[in-house]
Amino acid sequence: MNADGSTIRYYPTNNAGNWVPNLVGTPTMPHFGVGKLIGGNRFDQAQENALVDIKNFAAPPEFTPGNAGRNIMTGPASYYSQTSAKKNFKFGERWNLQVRWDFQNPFHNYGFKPADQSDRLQDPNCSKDHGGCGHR
Amino acid sequence: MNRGGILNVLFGGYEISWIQTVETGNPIGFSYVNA
Repeated sequence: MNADGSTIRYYPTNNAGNWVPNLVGTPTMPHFGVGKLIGGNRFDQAQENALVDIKNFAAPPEFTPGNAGRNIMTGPASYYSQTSAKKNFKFGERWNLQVRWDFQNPFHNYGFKPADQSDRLQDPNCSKDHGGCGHR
Repeated sequence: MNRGGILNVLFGGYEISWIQTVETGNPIGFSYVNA
């Protein structure tokens, strides 16, 4: 919170020229990646896990630009599989029956989009259902 | 399958294909605004 009571908001962004926060920790994305679950309900963003713990950031002091830099993190990687099994059954010389199973993403790996301002930066110890300790 | 008979006809001789895509994540930066 600012001294006047307004909320300081931190956003993932790739835009140059914005103010950047100070780093006070090492931000990680422990809930995103292969084998991770999105959260309590993947169709309800309010129940998704926080992208990054907001406690890793702080507002820079007045007249200082902040030290977080650009592109300080790398988003979750993408692993996508497509498998297929097929067999041809021949009936005489003319007819052929093909049985084929196609599987898209057989391991059910999530495809995470790049982080943007709709993602949640919050203290993971705060309630997931209410935006988390005044931040979002 | 290493045998003959109807089981081999039904379950033997399949061709399996696999396509695997691996991509690294996108770079992420952070900004803030006073609101």
